[in-house]
Amino acid sequence: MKKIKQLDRFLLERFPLIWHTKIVYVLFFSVITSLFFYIWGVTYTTNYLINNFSVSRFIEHSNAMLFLVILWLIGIIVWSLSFFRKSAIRHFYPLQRFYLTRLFGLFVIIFWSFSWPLFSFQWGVNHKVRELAPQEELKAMISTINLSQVLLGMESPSYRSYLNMAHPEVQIISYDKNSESWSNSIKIIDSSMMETGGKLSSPFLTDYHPGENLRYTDTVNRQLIQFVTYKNIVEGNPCNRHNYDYVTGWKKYADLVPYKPFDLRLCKNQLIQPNKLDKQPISIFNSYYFSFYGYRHSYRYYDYSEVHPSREFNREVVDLFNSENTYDKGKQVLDRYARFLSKHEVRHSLNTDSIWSYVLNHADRFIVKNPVSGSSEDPDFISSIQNNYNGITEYEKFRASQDQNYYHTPMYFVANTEVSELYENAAEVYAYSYSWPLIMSSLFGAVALAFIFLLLSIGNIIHMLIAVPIGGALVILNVFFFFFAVYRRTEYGVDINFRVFSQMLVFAFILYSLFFIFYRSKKVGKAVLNITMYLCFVAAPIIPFVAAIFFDLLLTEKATRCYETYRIHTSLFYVICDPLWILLIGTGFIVLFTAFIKPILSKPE
Amino acid sequence: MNLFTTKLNQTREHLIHGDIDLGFRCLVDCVLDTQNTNHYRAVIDLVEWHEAHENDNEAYTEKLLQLTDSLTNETVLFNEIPTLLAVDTLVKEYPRSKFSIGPISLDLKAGEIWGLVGENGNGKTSLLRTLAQDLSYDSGTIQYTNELQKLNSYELKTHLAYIPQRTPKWHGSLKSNLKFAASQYGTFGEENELIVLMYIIRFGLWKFRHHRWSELSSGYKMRFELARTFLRKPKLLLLDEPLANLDVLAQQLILEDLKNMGKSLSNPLGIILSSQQLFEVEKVADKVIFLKQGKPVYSDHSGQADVNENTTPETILELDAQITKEVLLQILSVHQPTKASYNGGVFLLHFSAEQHMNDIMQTLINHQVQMTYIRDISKSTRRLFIQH
Repeated sequence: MKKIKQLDRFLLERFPLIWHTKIVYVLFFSVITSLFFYIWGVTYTTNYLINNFSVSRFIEHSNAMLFLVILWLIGIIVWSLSFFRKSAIRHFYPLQRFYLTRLFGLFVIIFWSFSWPLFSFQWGVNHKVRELAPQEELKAMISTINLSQVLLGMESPSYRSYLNMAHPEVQIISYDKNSESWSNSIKIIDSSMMETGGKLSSPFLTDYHPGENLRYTDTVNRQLIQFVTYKNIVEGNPCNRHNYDYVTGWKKYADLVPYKPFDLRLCKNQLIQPNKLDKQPISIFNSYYFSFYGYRHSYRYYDYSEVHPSREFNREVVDLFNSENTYDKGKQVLDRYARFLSKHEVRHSLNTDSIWSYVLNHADRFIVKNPVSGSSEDPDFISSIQNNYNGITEYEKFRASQDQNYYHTPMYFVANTEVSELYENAAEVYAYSYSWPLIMSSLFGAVALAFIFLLLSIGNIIHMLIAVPIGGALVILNVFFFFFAVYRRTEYGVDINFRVFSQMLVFAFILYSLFFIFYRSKKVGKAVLNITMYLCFVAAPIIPFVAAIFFDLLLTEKATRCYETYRIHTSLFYVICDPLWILLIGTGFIVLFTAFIKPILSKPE
Repeated sequence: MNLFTTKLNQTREHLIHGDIDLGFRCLVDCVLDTQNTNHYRAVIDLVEWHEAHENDNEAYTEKLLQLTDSLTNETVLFNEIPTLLAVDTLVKEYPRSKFSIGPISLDLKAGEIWGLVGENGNGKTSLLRTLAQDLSYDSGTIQYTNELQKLNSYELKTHLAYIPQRTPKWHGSLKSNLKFAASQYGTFGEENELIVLMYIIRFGLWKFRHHRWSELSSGYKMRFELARTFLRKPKLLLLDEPLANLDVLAQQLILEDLKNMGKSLSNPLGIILSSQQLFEVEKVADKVIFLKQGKPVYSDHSGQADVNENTTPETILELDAQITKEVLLQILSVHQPTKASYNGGVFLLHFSAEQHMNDIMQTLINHQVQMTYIRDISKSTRRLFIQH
């Protein structure tokens, strides 16, 4: 207590503004709160949550966000009472240089510090995720997890998906017995090419009719199929393009599927990509760059997260099946997988011995019904199945005998979504460096609040309340003019955007001119001057952007491509689209405006 | 002998003659004039000592004298400022109510006190606020000393301290508020503590330094405002009814303090104060402005009214006695009263200028009239209140 009193006296005697704003205590409070939220983040995070929810949403799930909002409200109210009870600017005229600018700066720091718990909670969560799911362990398990998907026969393998992946140039056209029609997915085909080995010899294009080419038909799984290879061509000029698919040949099923039917399961995708955890933490600059410049060059930074088949992975599976001790190797993989699932509390029900034996013994089946579900199933229901049937063989026999249209839950399951979520979260945590959007958002919030509190510090609350409807009326007037501009645009032939922004600039000019005139005039009351000042102050951080857009429109070049007009913006446009510049410019103009405040405050009524 | 030595001698005399409180206040003024923090510390130590030894007056006086002697070698220069505020035919109009103040002219020098009196609603507060640059004016000029004239409006306002009749509530302890004000005006570190304690001592707030606003009486709230204002080192102090809600003793003390501190050698300042306490104000004011319907009547310390007062000199007495008006006039008939009125509280008696108060009192004594109050208001602005 004595130390606090000493500190208080030191600040009061040497740094009155810091003492007045209580920033030291606010920062201390923020640090303590952040620590509390860090601990909250650590204790809240469990295996169950990691497996089921995105780590970035934990703050909402834990109600920490709600608690933080309540804490913010209480903190702001208590701080406001403390600050406004001793407002120097209301009681006398503080002599310190840049008093209002420094006050604004301190407000920004104070309000920004209120957002620190958001970050610390996430750090707590990340810390716990690192502890529960070590990166090395997860990396080492990727191969096991993916192999296990195959060995457990999870999800039905399909030659169609295999062909989609292995032979993307092949189009599958199947014959539906019920409707007695072909699924003709190739719309345009040059029929004249049929006899010429699929070479395009004429621009005359017609629809391809599989029924007219029955000699190329194959039978797969008691269904008539044609495997057609095709190619895409583009014709015309850049402004008038036409895409055509044309048949280049036909394939036989045996040519396309090199392995025995059982090996179709090798076409399975990997549940977890091998490089899933290889993302490196990105620097704050890159984080910012990706977040906000990404939209301008999205094709460069787009993160392709879709899963691609891996030939290496499939080779690994083939090797396992072709080895002499397939059973032992597979059993080891599955046991390791089961232990991993148990450790990380992923919901599952597995009898690796029984399943693996069954899968191996039924390798001759072309399309097996998946004996293990990849979804999260009701454990009680699964138990009842396991109790009612004498092993997987009996149950699968029962499943095979049932109507295909009804789904019967497999006897075992692994919640694959939980495994995926675990890896997603781990990837996010291990690549986590800074959340630039969160930093920017919190800074925006802090500047906005600081701006409001600066207004309240200098302002007469009655005048401010009057300024609100007047400001609203000005906005409505602007909107009115805007619609007028839209209505008359065809007459004037002026770019509508140009009209709107030039109109806003004219309004701003009038507002600032009035402000200057009112300040110089002896006849204008202080209330009118104050209200004008508040309006100008609020407009101050907006005007540079309006001006920038106006000048961008003025200097921008128009270009036409394929009969469509588009704009080549100036660099100014990209600067004001950038949140960092928006923040800096907006804040800069607020600070600049503070220079006008003292003369207004001291002007006689 | 310079002014500082004179002040020291006066202080010594007060102490030797047993006027300890007065002597102590004069001593604090002298110490403040030196602007020497060592002397500040000595005073503060002495006050702390006195607090612990309240009954040891002899030793206390001895220590005060020693402290006074220690100031003898200090050199305090007094640069007299010719005119602090020069107002020329200032007019402030309120077109809606068709009321106007002025034309007012005044020439306030540093160290001077001007009183501003008048009935309610005659423009005293408006005039003070106009001089404090709180309100604009319609015609005339307000010129400040060169030092102030070159400042911008905001900086100028830091030197024009206007204390309203109802001072705003403050929060926290009295001392912390004073320290805050001092640091806002560039007094930092140890000097901040010392100067604040000095003004706390000077305005008799020592016992209340840790008190809060709600724990202070009106008089001490006013003292706090004055202390806070003096910490701002103002050049012009404008006080609106500072004596309202104060008891007679407190009124006298505050006026004495203002008079002495206004004549500070290190930071002389001009003071204009409005009040209804005419006689108390007249005692300390160098000049008095009486505002009637916004129009000024000036009166100097001798009671000499300005040329605008178109009345013949006369002796005017205010009398409170247990007697009827008829009997009173009969008794005083020898003095030929020109006018007599009774407002329910006191008699107002007008005589020719040749009649003196002593003679009239003697007549009343001779007739064994029980007087509870009598005052000669011939030279007081009080007379202006009753002239219609």
